[in-house]
Amino acid sequence: MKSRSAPVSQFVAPLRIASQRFAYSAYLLLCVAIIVLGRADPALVERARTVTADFVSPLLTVLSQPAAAASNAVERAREAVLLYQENDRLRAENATLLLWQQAAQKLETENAELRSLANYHPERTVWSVTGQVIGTAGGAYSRNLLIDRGRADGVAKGQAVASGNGLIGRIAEVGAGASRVLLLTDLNSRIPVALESTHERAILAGDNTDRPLLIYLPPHAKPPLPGDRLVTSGDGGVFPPGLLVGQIAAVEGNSVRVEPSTDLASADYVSIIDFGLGGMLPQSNVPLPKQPKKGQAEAVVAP
Amino acid sequence: MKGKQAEPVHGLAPAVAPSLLTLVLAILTVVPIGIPGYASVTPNFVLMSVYHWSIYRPEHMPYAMVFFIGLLLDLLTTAPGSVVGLTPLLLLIVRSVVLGQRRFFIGRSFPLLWWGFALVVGAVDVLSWLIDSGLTGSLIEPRSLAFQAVLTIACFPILTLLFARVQRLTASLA
Repeated sequence: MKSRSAPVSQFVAPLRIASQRFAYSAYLLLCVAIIVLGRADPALVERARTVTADFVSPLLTVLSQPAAAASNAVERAREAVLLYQENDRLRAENATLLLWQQAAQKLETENAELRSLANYHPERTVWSVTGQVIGTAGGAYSRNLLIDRGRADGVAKGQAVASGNGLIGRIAEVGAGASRVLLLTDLNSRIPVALESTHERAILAGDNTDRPLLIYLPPHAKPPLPGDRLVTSGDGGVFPPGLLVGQIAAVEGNSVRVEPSTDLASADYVSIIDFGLGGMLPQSNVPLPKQPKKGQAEAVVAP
Repeated sequence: MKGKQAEPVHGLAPAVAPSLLTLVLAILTVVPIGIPGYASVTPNFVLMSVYHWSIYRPEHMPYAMVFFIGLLLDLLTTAPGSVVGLTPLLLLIVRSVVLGQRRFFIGRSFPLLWWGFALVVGAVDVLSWLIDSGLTGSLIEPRSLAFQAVLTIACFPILTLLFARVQRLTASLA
């Protein structure tokens, strides 16, 4: 059965299969190269990510509108149903808040007096901008958000990101018009915190679960109790001390889980805050782990 | 729903529809929808799309496109510290494996296709978990990955309806 009707396909078909195979292996190799390169040179991948985010952000901004509108509509309907209860609750809350207002005013005057006594000049200016969440990404391997604010709006790496009741994370990557927020639940998030009651310091370490772990709690410290509030400690100079982070959710032996103060996943709008601390090291200044040379280690230990 | 047209279809609409649809699904993956906890268990729409088109229109879902969309998805969803390049790698393998088993799938009943997809999801998740944990040096909590896998498998019939509709529509346009 000699095929005279399709002489071309006799040559083309194997060629196509061969080129397909070649494409497959070429792209596989390219992927491996990207994975390796990404581990070796994170800055390169970061640039690719910010460019992508910038490119897609106009589309994401449009697409996230109906989603925001829908969740607003649901919220409205729920509010309408609970109007009376809500009114009562707010009235009670208002009464409490008025008391707090008095207390705050008193403290403010006292603070001003003490500051003038101590000759204290606050030099930090707090700057903030509000951004809309245009992307909630991550899957099982990361916890991060995309917001529609970038370098053009004054956003910079390391700025604190808060929503509702407290801290939700920090700016990890900045593009021209979009930025990525590393949530405090992300595997790579480490935030210096302190227990509000005992002032014991520790690190809040994300592990991609909804409740990050409290680690490096001093061994002599009194074990925290569920419900204890956790604030930033100010160590490291990225966040100012006293920012609410969450509360202790569960203590099981050495593993302490923290419930973030804000529902990180359902934030629509966030505040990006710069406390003017400048504690975030630029990439070029980040000390890389080096094998210590012989003799050097001793020199450091014994000054 | 079975999408019987497995012969090559010519024309612009059928040629670009699979890639375009997959691209849209990749972007929709990161759109916030206001459901708490959704971000960590978002179904893997792109995997469904690559699986479907690798069976029914492999010529319109070339390796280049699979690579490009996978990389885009990684660049959209990862944060500093996480692995980039793993998603396109796994999608490429999925396309190649599914293409090899194509004759087995074509014209078969939907449950069989669904079963095949479940196997693919399982394999992809186990592989990605192993590689990711190995590269980052930390064991990722597998629970949300398992949830995501279940959700992905559960959503497959709905998306297949969409794919089949698009497939028929574009074939009629050609």
